[in-house]
Amino acid sequence: MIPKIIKSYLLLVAAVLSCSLAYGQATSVPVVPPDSIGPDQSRPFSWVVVPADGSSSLNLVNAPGQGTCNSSNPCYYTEANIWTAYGLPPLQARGKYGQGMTIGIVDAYYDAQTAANLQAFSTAWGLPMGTSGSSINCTTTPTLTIVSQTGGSPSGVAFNANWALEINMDVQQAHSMAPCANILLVATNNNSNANLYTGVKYAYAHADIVTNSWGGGEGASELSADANFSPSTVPLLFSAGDTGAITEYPCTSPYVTCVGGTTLLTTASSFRTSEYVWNDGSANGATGGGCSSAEGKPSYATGFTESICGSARGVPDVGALADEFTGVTIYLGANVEGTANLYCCIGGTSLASPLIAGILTNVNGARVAGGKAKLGSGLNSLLYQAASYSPTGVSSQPAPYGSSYRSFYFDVYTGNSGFPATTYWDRTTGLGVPAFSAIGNYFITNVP
Amino acid sequence: MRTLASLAIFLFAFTAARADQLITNGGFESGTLAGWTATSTGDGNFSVTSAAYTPLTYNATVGANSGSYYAVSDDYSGSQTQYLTQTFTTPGSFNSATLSFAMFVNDVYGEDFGSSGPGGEVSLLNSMGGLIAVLYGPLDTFDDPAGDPNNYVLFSEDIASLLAANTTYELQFSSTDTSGLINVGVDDVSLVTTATPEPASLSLFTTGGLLVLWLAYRKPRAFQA
Repeated sequence: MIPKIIKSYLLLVAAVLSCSLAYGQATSVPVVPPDSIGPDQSRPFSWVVVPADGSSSLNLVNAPGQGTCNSSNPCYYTEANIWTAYGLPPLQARGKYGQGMTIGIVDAYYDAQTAANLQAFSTAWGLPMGTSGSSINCTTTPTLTIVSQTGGSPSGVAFNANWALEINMDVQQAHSMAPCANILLVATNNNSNANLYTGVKYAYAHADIVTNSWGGGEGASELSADANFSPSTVPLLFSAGDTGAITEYPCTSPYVTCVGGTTLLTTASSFRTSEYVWNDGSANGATGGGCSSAEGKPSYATGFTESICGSARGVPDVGALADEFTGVTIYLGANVEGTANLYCCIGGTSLASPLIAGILTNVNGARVAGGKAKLGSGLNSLLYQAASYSPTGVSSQPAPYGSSYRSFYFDVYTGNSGFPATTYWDRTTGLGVPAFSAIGNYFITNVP
Repeated sequence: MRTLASLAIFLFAFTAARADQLITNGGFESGTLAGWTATSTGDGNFSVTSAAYTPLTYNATVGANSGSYYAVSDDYSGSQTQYLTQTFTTPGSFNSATLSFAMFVNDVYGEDFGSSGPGGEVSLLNSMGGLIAVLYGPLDTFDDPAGDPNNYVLFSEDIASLLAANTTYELQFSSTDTSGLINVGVDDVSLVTTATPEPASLSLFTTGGLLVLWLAYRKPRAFQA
């Protein structure tokens, strides 16, 4: 029996987080960090300080596209690089940059520097929550609200340095993807299952989409734990984990969208040239995913996952950037790293989840502007439905895939996590990396 | 007198080898689709841009081949064809008709997963839209060793044998999605007909030129009177 482990999926080019999650009757649950990976005490690389003044000297990004990003030469994408690589500008403009929407983020513990760090990060990259002005004009200045797991003041919640990495990355990346959206950060008392679930419930009652970058090993008790997620009326996203071909809960819950990880390479002008399965080895992380040992195949996955997972729930559902060596920057305070700085680099499937939550917030913005309801808890159904869509009603792809499959998804078919990537759905990145402006248009225009 | 002499030379050259450009706004430097018609079977279309990316899905391109602007196809949901068409009419006589253009075809993956499809194509149609000939293509796989986005391919060919005099045709660029999104870029479209007179008519043109020269010579004098 695999011990249940709850960690946050954050891979820092210098820090691995650990946290524990024990569900149900589970015996003991070794707590691992959040799903983020960056340099931490257990990673064989260290932070690189990035000038936090928005100067052009920030660009270490010669490597993406050059294939030389690794632990001795970590690279990062600027926020504008990410927008370009994922084709976000048209979608962000249509969605009013998420104006009026709220992104919920659930993390364990509390970092009192979160707001200051977000402001510094935003200043460096010219985002609306910064002080240097922004090319993005929000109708109303977005806000960051931090609450305890029950909605009260977070000031009594303890600090944990590993979770602080997760918290700051989640908040900063969510703001960048939907720069005019409000952010609601729920700081749970610790990383126990009970507290994190309490935090999720508060978040989905008060936000329009919720991203979570933590999880642990599977167990039979997870079926009853699903009751924590099934009442949600908004999309819940979870990171798939950073330890390769292993499934984690809650990502395996059919009520959440499970997000796997990729390595992203671009041209010098930051357009994507390739994207493949994130696997930096056991020391530096690889995307989680596989076939659930407890959860059955949800109906929305019919036709997509059976050939690999039979009657089990297959995860992840989709993928996005996670490789810390082609990762993003993070602003951390002195309470975490000794000196407040913008650091390179951080990643993990912990990154992939807030990226997608933020990006989908632009879809919500556009849907509301068009008089439609926001995306709801049926996000997974929509994701698989989009993969089946054929504009003419006749598919050129093998069933259940539609003609639009490769317009709506970048089908990641290169690499392995322990499980091989294949064309169509697989256990590394699910359906693939959404082609956000295209699938976004489907969600905005075609979905009622 | 010097002015008149050079005018005479100009007239002679003009009548001896006449060249007509039949395409309007072939380089899209108006920044618009003026002269062209863009149609689609789906949710995409050709549009004119100066940016090195497509307008709907933000895929990288190499930008314009020359000048500032070019036309590029883009769509959201694939499985469709975009058309970029211009109608032209041939002159009363011509010996050659040189069609030239710059065109690129990108797909999101840099390959097409082995599926078949027209990809990018250039066709000559009659005035009713009926196909006369596929002039170029289909192009549907692009593993450009230089990497994405792909560079322009330059085309130049005499298509006079396909054309009759005083007749209206359509020149059509098409972009058909295969298994993924295809972006077709078009720039610097030109169709130039030349008419080189036969020796007999050459002397006639020369006479005509001299007549014009004589009239031109007379006119100023009339003003002086």
